[in-house]
Amino acid sequence: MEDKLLALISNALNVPIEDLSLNSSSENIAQWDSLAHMSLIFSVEDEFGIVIPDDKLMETSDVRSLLTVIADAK
Amino acid sequence: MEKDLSFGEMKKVLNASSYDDLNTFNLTILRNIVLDPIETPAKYFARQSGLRAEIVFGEYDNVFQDSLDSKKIAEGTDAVLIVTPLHALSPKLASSFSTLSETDVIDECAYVKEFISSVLANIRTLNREAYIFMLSFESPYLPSMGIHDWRMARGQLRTIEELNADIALLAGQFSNTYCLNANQILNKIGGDDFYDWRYWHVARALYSRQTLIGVSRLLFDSLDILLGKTKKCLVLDCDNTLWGGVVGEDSLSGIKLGSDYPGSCYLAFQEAVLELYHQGVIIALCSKNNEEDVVEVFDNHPAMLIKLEHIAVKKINWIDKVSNLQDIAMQLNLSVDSLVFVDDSRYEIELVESKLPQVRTLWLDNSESVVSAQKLRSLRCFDKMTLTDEDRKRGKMYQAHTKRVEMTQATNIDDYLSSLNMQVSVFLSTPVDIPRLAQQTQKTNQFNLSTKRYTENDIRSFIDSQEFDVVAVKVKDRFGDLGIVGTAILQYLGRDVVLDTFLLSCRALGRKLEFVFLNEILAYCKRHRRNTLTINYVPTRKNVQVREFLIEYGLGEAEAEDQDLRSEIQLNIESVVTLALDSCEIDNSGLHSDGSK
Repeated sequence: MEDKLLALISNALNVPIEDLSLNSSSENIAQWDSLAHMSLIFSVEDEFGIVIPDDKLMETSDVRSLLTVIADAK
Repeated sequence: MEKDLSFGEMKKVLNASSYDDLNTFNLTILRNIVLDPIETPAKYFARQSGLRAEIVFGEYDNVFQDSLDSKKIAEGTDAVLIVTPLHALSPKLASSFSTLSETDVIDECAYVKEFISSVLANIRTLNREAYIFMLSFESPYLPSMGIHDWRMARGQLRTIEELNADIALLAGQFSNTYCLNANQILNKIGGDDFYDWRYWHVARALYSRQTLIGVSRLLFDSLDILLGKTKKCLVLDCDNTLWGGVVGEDSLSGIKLGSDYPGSCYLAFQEAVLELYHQGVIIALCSKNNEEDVVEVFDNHPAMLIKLEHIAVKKINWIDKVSNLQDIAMQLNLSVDSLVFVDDSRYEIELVESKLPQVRTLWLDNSESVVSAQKLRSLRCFDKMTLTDEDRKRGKMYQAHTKRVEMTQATNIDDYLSSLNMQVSVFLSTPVDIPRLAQQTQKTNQFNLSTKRYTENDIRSFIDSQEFDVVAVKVKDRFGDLGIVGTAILQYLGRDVVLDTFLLSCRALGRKLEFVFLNEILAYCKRHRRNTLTINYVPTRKNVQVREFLIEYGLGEAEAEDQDLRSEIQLNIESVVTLALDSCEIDNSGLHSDGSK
């Protein structure tokens, strides 16, 4: 799931996959701003077939918490 | 019917695309909500239309301010999209409707109209050319007064419907300005999926990703129409497309076509074809069969809705379909990219896609023939802005055209043209001609001197203006009435004339009408003692025929570079002779009215 998510983030933010890791977040990836985050969430929801609850929408701007949210939503 | 790609899939296409040979399209989006994720589908559908979109977003909820900002509405802006849902523009109308008095509703609607009107006027002042698209207000899917709101004269549904109608009228007062119907999207995806309430409350982003995709698709489908990229001819296979089964094997009585399943699926498909025919789409057949078998079905099967008289060209033979498609295009004077090819065979579809990628294909999978009609109806590539009389008559005209082509094969060109008994009429156009003339400027690609696209409002303003004349040409011959086939727009700069537009519809080519048309224009300018007529050829990928004409008319050398094909004809010199043509009868009385400007 981790690889799939990283590939998806790389595609949505147009960032080389080598630059991404478990520690990536909106803090250390310049392209990951709040608006790109919205497109990223759309991609994550389509790809994993989930709906992220509204209280988690804005708290998920790092790879680790995205992984948790995806696991919880499944 | 085609399933939309997801955001991620669109992004993949965009990341992998090369844009080197695409024209840039500068799109400004003014919005009163957060709409930024629309960038992905907008760029994707631009890519599908052969454009590289560069998007400038107005600031959040700054629509009015941005409509005055020459950085947002710059000279190079190609289109402006305005997205102002009522949830943000008039929360009262959207969410507190039943608390409003009758006067409150009137005031609120007046405010909305005034707001939109000023925004449109501001944009037009800064940029005279750009297309402006305004997303209409979607009907509330949970109307304020419940399931019977729709019957109430002062219900929310009817109020918003009337508001939309008023705004559409308002948009019509500005050139190149169009409303996009939000309900078109709402109807397809449904109210529950139209909004993303999570993002509305968290980030003031109202629309779901499906809606953003829908808006983008609607925007670029509309642009395709305005830029003349729509298709003109539907080429149909026969067996398992127009009827079920194979006529060569199953015989006339064995094929499936009629009011009962499964024949009803094919009947429904034929209905959809005829709807297109009556809107001016040319119908052709391309089928691997013995011609007499197919003709027998058309002549003798009682359930056939499509008759041979609807078919402009038929290629029923055992030759490969790629060559047949090329022949069909040639016979109809169309370029191959005007064709849509329909077949039930995956093999034929893939062959055409690989050899003629510019042809749009529609594969009718036999296992889902129940939705064949809907698949055809969901193609947007035959859509138009308005339907003119010429559109309604086009099918008949093209059939006559094919008879004419068959005659040419038997005789030489001049004898043939004389035998057509053409009656050509050249005249100053009047308001009734406006829809057809605007449509011609939007759709004509091949014989088009400058390829300038104009709206009905533009044409109206030319007709009204002292600085322009709009001249049209119509033709009849022994096979039928072709209607208006050519438009010319003359711009007057003092005593000098510039030929702003000079075009002929493709169905009128090959008759030397372009010579007659230019002759009459020259004579008209001379009669009104104009000094010069300037003709400036603007080359495109498709209009080489104009170049050839100008050279044949003596206005340029065969070796001339395109940019040198600019002529200034001295009209006051007696020796300017127009080319003689005696293959038709010419009526130019419509140019003798006192319309001199």
